[in-house]
Amino acid sequence: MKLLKFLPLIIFLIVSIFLYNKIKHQKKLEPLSSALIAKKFPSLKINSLDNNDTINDFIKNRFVIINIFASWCAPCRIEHEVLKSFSQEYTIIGLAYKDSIENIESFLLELGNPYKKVFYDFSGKESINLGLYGVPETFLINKNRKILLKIIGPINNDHIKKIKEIIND
Amino acid sequence: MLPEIGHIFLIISFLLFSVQLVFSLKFNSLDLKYSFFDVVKRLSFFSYILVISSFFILIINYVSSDFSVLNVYNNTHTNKPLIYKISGTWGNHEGSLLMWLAILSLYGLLFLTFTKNLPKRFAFKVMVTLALVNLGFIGFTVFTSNPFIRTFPVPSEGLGLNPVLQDPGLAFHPPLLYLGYVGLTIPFSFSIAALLQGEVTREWAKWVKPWILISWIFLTLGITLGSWWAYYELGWGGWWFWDPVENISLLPWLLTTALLHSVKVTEKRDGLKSWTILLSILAFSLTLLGTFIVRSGLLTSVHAFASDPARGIFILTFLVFVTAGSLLLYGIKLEKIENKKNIYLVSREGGLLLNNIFLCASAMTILLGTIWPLVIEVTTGQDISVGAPYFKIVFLPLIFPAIFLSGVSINLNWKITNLDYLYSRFWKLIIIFIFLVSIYYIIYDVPVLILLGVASAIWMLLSVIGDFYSKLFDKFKSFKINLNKVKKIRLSIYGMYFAHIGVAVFILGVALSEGMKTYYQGVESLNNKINVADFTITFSKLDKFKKENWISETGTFLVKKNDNKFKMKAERRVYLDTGMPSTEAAIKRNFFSHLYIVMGQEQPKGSGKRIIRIYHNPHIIFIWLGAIIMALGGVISLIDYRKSFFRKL
Repeated sequence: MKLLKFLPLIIFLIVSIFLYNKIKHQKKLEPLSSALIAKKFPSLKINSLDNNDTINDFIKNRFVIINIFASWCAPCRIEHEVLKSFSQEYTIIGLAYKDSIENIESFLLELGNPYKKVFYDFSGKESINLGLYGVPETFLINKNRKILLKIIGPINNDHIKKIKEIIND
Repeated sequence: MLPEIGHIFLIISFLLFSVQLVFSLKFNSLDLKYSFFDVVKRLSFFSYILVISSFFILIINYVSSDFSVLNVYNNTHTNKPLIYKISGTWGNHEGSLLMWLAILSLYGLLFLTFTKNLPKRFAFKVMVTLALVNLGFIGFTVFTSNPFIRTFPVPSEGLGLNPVLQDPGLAFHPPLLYLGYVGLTIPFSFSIAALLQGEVTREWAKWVKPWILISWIFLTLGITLGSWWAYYELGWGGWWFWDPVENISLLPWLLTTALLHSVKVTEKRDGLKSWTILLSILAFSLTLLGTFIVRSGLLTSVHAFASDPARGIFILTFLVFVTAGSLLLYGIKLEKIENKKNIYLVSREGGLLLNNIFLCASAMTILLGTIWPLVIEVTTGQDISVGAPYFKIVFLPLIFPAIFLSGVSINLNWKITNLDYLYSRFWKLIIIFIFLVSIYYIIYDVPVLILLGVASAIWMLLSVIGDFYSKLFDKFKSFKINLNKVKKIRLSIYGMYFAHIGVAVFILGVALSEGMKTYYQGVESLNNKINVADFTITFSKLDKFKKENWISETGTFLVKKNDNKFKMKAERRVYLDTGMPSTEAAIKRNFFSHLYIVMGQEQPKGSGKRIIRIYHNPHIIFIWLGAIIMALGGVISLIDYRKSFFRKL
């Protein structure tokens, strides 16, 4: 009978133990970036704007940063400055997503061009293979086409530090 | 500068609440001098004002699109209409937490305004409990989810609000729900204060009742609006999905409903005291648990915010501290507060008690279903999810008796134990009830579950009418109805009637719409004809426009029913700032019924064919209408309490 008074308390404490247990084992979820990490960059049927190159040939044996962008995308404008700031040090290639040639040209004329080469996927179909969630997204790929890092959303200075660390390793 | 001010306001109020707690530790050794009480009261008042100001500062940051604030940058965009800039403030974790705090402070201010006639010792204990809750939430905000953090370099444009949230429904759904959730802090604090005092009186029940009612009204409205919004905006084609977060919001509602009934027994019959106290503690704890589950990302749901274990640990600690502390206090003081009064089963209090048991049992089964995946994962390591079938199986058998009993108790008087009375009171009602249900069954021939639903609605309506009739009935002049009595019935009784009629209408809506709905899904090209229910629907046109901040694809549908022809437009939007799509269903309201068309994406791409889903939901409007009538009943009762509210509090 005495214990009965504390029954609500006891039940509650048991529930809390379960909750604690769950939260202790909960990993910080990064469902968006984890899927492709350490896998090979998929082979894509994507050409460059001048139609001289395909993306598959271009990234062969190169350590590159692939930046997926669009002229209609506001966050892409924000990250543009950041991209330009280290375009001298590393090879960045652009992949224009669901866009048109005229718009890309005026976008790059207005803000400057950080890209070694610009590729395009105007239908957006090929980008599905990349698990594209939205623009902008950025991939870091080594010489064996292995994806080392995927950044969702506009790239910032913290990301660049991370990229530099990875490259220096 | 402004964000820093908001941040500093929060920190100062955190310190002020800590000071109050330190004061309260000394309280027992001090005699409660007037000056001392007033100092604490002013401290509270000042802290509440600070918290509310800091919320307004965040709103100003949003309206002026100050992207140097990280939270603003992440959640808004200059192209947005003003109303969504404002609602963007609470469309994210940090901002919504600050709104939670601001509402808590609003309730605190209300309480301080109405404390005048409360005994000082009691009021003091309530204030200290409130201070403790405030401390927890402000700490949570400042230490784990500060909305005022700056970012550098300052971005020129924001990332935009999740398009699903860009809707008037969402602008009001969270504030209403929070008004309900947070309002439960006051009954909780009253209960803790009563436990500390070691006595629960009928007076106490009178003081706390309006606060419970206020929370209940807002919870009802908030949940209703959320359900309406899910139906209207999300294009899910339903009104309740047993989503973990929906369940978590339903739990406090069920317990608050139970609490409303049990506090009535405490007020009128001086009974069910410990039960009332326990319910108010549990209702409050469940809102904390709900916050914990949503904010820590423990359960996946449409409502989930970005997950962060640090936040989870903080809330869990706070939850355990507050709830375990309260329940411990409850266990210690239990014998002091409860008088061993017997409750007779055949009386209004008996009916209310039984009703309470069913309501709480249904709440517990929902809670069990919601946290069961966690238990299974911890014990066996498996990932499972508990879906709608479970809830339907366990919830319905419990809620039907609750509805039946509430019909019975409305017609019972307090304290009566005579079975003959029961018989004399009910035989007419039962005959009419059986007659109506049979007629309905003969005409419509529906499945058992639907019939059960319709029968419960009829029973509820009949019992309200029966009670009203007996109140008008003049005992001395036989068979005469005395219409003058209409005015003499208290307003709160009318409120009660309305609330129960609301329940009846709600159940009717659920039974009819679930029983008679039709659904169609297919891939259709232009000019295809589709037959759904009595309608012939033609997909006639597809237009594309550019709107404020989205690209709109609008499909026009020609609908024909008998000789009646009309056009319907279903929209699919792609937001420019995030590139995310969202659907706006076309809804044709035929007063009670909805024809509902959703146009999905092109399938396959380039073919011009579209995924089309069509729902016909007859009588579904009763669901929300019923809920609104319930809330209206609450408001009517509240008007009646107003006098005692102003005079006594």
